Amino acid sequence: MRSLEVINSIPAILVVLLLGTLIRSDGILEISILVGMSSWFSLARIVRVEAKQISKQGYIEASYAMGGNFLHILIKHILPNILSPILFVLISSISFAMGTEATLSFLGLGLPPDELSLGSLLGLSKRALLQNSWPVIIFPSIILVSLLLAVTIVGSTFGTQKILKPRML
Amino acid sequence: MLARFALKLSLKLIYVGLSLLALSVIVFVISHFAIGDPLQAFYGDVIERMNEASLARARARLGLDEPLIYQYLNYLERLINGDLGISLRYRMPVSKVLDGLFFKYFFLGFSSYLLVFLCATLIAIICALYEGRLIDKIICSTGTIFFYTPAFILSVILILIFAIHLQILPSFGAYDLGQESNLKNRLYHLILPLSVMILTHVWYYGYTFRNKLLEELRKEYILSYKAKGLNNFEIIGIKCLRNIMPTILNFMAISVPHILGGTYVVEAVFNYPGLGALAIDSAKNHDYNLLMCIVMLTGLLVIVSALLAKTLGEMADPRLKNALEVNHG
Repeated sequence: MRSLEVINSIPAILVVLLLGTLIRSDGILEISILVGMSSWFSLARIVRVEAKQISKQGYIEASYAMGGNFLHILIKHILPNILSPILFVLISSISFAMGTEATLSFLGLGLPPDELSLGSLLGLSKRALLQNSWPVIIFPSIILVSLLLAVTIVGSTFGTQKILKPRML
Repeated sequence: MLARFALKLSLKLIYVGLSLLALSVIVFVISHFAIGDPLQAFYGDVIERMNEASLARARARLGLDEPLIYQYLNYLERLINGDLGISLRYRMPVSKVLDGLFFKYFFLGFSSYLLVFLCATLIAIICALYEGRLIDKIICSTGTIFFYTPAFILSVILILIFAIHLQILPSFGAYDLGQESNLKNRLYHLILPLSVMILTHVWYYGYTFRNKLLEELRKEYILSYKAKGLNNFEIIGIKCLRNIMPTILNFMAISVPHILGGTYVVEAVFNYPGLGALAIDSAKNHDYNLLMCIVMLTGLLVIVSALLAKTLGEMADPRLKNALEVNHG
């Protein structure tokens, strides 16, 4: 965990850049791997904190006393309890990934312009600025931002509502 | 007291040292697995005309024939001596490329860091004062939209409005040609990047502080302040704010990489010279030697400033200090 903290001390975009130089990416798969590799740290940290918090509860101890082994406790007791925060982080990291891809493509490090994506469309906006053709910039931006917002709203629904929370007796 | 302070300080310094060591290990391992021959990176195209014997000699000189752990120690020694390697793109030592850049253009990052937290606190106070009313709702929804807008989109749209259509603000660079020492000109160029930084980062912190303030407002001691006759502004802006000050400072400590990462993108969009623009440029050109030095520098900056903010936070909160003393003694 300490080494994760050290990696976390570097801004995420820099980690993506550093890994990007090593992979030399320009396909969809490479970019996906790149963004995935650079964004799992926060999920790992949150899962660790949540799991630690739950493992201190009384019923875990009770289950342990009744002879439940590690795997049983992990799957039956801890996993259902941390599912909701995991899903929340997972879905918000979808929007993070979309934003990162768009940023990378805009900076000229992501997908090439002939691969269609919102990011590569927005990558054209620097040229569009010079030609003063604002629709090229405005419409993809509106779609991207509303998509990001929508994904986030779905994620926070999973995070706050009790759909996935196990019932307390 | 003094001895305890010295002990605490030295412990923290050891922590910084260990973190930097870990960072250097990570960077070294990544550089070791990097695509591309380090020999070619060092000597350039001459390498194709070398014979086997001189290749081996060159390898020995660069220490490439030794075991990995010795290579790492060599790398560390060079790093400590200030020899950062050679930039593959600029064909000169990395230290020369970075020379002066670090502190000269530290400006954007530092000013946005301070302004983000100032604005976040102000917004939190306003929202807490008008909780649930129209102003609060408007600020909440605009804040969320700006938070989820990627920084580069906002930059491009602001450039479109203010630099191209209204033509009142410059769209790139840190100063106009020949105006290097003109402070007013520099500030003028800072307006757009700074506003993008604030708009995209402020809400995350503002919302957290707002909720903290509201939580504080629900506590019982507020009732006695009301009985005393203080008005809402005095209660929230002075009494509650003082109680959540440690939280704010704590957030300031952990937010350095977040805000620094933001400046990297903004610098690249506005062509604002700085570490970020350089990092993206070197990533484009696969200049990983330079890029790794930037990573190390950023890591150093982040770890040291986080430590600083943490210490300040501990000093600002008497409760925390007492708790620490109880734990230690």
